[in-house]
Amino acid sequence: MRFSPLALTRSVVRNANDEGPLSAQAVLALDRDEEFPAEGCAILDEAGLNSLYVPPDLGGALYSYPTLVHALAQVAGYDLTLAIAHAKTFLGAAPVWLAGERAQAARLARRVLDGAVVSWGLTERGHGADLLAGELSAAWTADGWSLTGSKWMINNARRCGLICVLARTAPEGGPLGFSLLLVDTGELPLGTCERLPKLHTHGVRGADISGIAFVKAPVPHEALVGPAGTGLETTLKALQVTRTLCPALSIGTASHAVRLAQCQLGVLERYSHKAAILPVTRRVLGQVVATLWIMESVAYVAARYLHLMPEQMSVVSAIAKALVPTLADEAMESLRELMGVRGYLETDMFQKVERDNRIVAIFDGSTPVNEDALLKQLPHLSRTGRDALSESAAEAVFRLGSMGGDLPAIEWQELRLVSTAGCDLVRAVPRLVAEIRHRRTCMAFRGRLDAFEELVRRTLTQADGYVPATPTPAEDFTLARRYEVCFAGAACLAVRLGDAPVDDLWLEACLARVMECAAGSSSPFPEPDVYDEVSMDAGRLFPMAEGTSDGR
Amino acid sequence: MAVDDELVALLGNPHDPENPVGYRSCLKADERGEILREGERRLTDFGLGAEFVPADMGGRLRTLDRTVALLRAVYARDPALGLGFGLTSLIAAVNVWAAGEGALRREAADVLLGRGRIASAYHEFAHGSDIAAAELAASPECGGYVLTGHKEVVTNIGRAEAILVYARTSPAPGPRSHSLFLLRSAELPAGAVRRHHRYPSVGMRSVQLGGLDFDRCRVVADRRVGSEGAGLEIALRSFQVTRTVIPGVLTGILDTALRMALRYALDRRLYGRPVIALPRVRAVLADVYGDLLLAETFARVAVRALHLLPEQAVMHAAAVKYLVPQMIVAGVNNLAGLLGGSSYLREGEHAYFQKLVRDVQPSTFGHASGISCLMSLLTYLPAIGRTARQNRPRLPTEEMFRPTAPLPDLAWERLGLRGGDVDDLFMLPLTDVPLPERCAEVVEAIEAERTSLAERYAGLSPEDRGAAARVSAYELARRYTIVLAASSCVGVWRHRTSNDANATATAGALVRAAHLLDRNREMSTQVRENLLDEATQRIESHARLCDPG
Amino acid sequence: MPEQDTSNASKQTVREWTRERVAVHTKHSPCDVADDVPLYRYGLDSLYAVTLCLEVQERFGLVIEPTTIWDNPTVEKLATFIEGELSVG
Repeated sequence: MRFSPLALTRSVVRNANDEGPLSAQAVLALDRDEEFPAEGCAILDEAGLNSLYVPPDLGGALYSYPTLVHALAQVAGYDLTLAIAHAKTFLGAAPVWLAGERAQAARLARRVLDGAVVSWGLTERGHGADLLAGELSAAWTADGWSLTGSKWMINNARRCGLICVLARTAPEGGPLGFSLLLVDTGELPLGTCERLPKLHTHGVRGADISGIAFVKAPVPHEALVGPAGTGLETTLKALQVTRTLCPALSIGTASHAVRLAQCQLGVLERYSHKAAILPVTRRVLGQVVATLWIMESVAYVAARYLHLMPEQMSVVSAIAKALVPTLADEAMESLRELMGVRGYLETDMFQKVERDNRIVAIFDGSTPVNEDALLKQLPHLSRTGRDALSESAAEAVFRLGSMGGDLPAIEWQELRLVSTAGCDLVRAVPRLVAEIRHRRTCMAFRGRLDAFEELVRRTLTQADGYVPATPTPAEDFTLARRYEVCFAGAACLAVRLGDAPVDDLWLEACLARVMECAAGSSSPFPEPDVYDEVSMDAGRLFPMAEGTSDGR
Repeated sequence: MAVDDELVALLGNPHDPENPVGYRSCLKADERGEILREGERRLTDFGLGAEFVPADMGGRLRTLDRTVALLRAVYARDPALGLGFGLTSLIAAVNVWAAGEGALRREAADVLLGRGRIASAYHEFAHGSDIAAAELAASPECGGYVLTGHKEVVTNIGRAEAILVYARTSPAPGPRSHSLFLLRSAELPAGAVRRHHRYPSVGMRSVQLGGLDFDRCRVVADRRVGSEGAGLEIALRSFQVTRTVIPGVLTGILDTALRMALRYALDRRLYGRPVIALPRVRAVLADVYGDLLLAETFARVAVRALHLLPEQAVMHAAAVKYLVPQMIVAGVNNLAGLLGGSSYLREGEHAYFQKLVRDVQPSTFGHASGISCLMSLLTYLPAIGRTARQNRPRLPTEEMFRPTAPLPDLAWERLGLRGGDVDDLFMLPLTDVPLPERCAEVVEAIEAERTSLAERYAGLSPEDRGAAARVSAYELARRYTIVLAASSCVGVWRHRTSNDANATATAGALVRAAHLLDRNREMSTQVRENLLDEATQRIESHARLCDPG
Repeated sequence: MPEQDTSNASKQTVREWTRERVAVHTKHSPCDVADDVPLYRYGLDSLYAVTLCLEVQERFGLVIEPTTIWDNPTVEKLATFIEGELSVG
């Protein structure tokens, strides 16, 4: 099966015009009324977006993870509620692609291609991200499993026809005491399953964020996803894949917000007597654009990483999920200041984008959860950090930045809970820097390049002798952030060395922003004047569809 | 006995679900976008409107520390209640008091004493904070004026008895082209005025925002407040009061948010232990508490300085209006990060939090944007820098730093625009008295920064003013506001009358000021633990987080 | 450091000084600043008056309010006002 990104884009743009279901007016109305974007989902179904949720060997069109990231970013650029409502199915199905029996996966694939909604039930009330505290249990009986317990704050829990549930299968729990079960809610007898009420949320108000409760619900043995006791392992590996998708959401909302701010400032400039854009406004806007570019680089490289070096995804996914939504939050706050009262009115789009955006850093493993995961691997990252890169490894790193579509198939079986090789992209920084210096003879950003190289060196030194402690000391999170930023800078270098539509000005702006991020929370009055030149620019790697709903 | 004890008692237990002015009721009003009637009724019964009227006109306003304390208490309960009830009445009233003598003064006082409201109609979409560019025209005609144009997003314009309108009385650009008018809503000619539909905002949802189109609306000359062309001057002089008052009021929002976050962290368990045991959580809570203390102290000292050093108010007001709102917003956002998913729910135990997240947002652009405050500071910094080199610090009197010391009545006539070349708060000696443990090094660094800043202010070129100011100039102005905040803390410490909590509070606040100047400066473990012990103790004993003094 | 010159400040000097300050603030040359054109026409915003009156203080030792400058918004008017104050004091 083939998916046509162009067809999706065209469909979205068409439906975003006038008062179509994806127009600003319609999207705002749904949000105001907390109504589910059913029409939007139908449009995405028709455009075949769900084919991207299924691997090609099971009949789907998931040839390229970057393609999925881009498609979702575009949808998120119109309405994040719609994006998470539709793409949740991928999250629910991913564990089955990863660990399910062949026949089970094939059955699920058919249903997803037919438009089924699949949910993923991990979290429970009062337990947050602490999966080992889960109480929903599955008791083995001769006839199958008996499920009792509930999952809470689950996207699409009321709508789904299938839900992949993490259940305690050994009473004492522990890392081997949980299993994943793919439950077909349509097959459950009356009275054994209850959908919990939709939760009223601050943003993505129309989303179905709810829950599901089971009371001795009988589920066939074949519902087990992977062997019993592998639930946690499969979940953690599947999260490596799904967390790498979340940046798409941040890129969508950030791109949308940037466009709204640029429109408003552009309008002011046109209709005011004097130049309405103060130098400081221009500079901050440019800084936000540079932030978007870094987000794109990380998201793009991370998506290609899944194809090229899946065994390092434990590090890459943690970085992508921790850094990109955080950068989006910062960008959003800067833009909110620029928007002023216009950004505060419910009749306009910005406030919805701002509220919706906040959820990305919170769900699917909040920033601290991912940084903890990164910190646990930091000693190894440090030990392997200065190992020489083999030629093939270096070549793979350079491929990370390439726009070439010829990616090898995603090898789900190669995902590992811990990356033994560390992180080749960060290891490759000296090579990447050398190559940039080699290719570009006249560089305005020479100084920034040197500074970045030094940052990576310093960070690896700081990571030397780092001993993870539980609970994690506060200062350690600063180190995690610094490592993430090293990855981000390296991603930008890799992209510049590839064939993306980016230039030296782009790289200079990115490096300036990378260095600011490394220094911690930045001054609201950024120094780098390179930002002034890019203030009206847009995303480069994941461009939004033309005619993004602007609101007023 | 604190100034706001009576008012707080009147608002009742916020956690009581049956309390019509409790959090649950406030949240319901927010969901519906409706005025919290019972809340307004209680504030009216308390006579909060009279607090906006000078004592010599029959009201209770003598010194603004009281006004701030009362409004802060309302904001700590429900920011939208505070804004909707009357923050903007205060803003409008201040303009009338600052305009000096005139019959409209009596009229404004009577409206407020009669439990009415005054809307403050300055804002137009096209001009935002730049009131010198406001377009609503009031053309002098036949002994009166004819108003044509509009005002947009004005609080209470639909239900205020009187409306203070800022209009252009001359088409020439320049500072004498605007005037103020006090109009009576009931007297607006129906055909010449059209009310806008309500502007729904994403936060402060129970506040009624509206607008007016004027189409050749005739207004008699008597309706003009102050002389023709005095509008900008009156506004700029009023800013010194309102920009000083509002930050102190806003700290109430962060106070409530921090209480809620502390409660959350104490009660919730994760990975088998209370969330407050997690080091990252402790760091964020301590940092935000330090920010609250810094903001509070700065705001309080700025209000006192308004009375004691009115000639310098123009600088202090701009500084505190820039720094404090921004810290409040950042603080609430940082706490939201701690609450995670709980900060995202509009139901359940922590449902109020997301309302605070939305309500706090206009703090940085409402009334006067942070950028416009810094822009006005840039005008004064060069002279301050030049005289700072001469290094003749004058110690402000202790009244400036002792929260319970009496203040002289506000000298409205001494609020000028000149500023002067000295800022006694900026130049306060910082290291000549013993400081709390672990503060010495931090304060020395701040003092060194101040010396360096003074040099740079003296060197500011004429380009670094107004709309063309370079970005680096804004950063310099920002750092000025931080030094003022730190000086406020040192001043309060120097003149403390008792008790150890001050040492913890001072240390926490000062290290946060240092952090704003240099983000590598983090709170030491000792200070962090002291702050948390203090905060936890206060929460558990239902005491205030910030002492009123 | 601009010195104070409170005595014998002739009209010519005051006017020249005023013209020069306006020129510096607006990036014109002094000969392009006319005596009778409102200063805001040269691009000065409402707060320039603060800067100018601080400079007046440093140069002439005279303390004036920015609003005085607003009310005497040309080189000619301002110079006349300053002169008047100096001859009194």
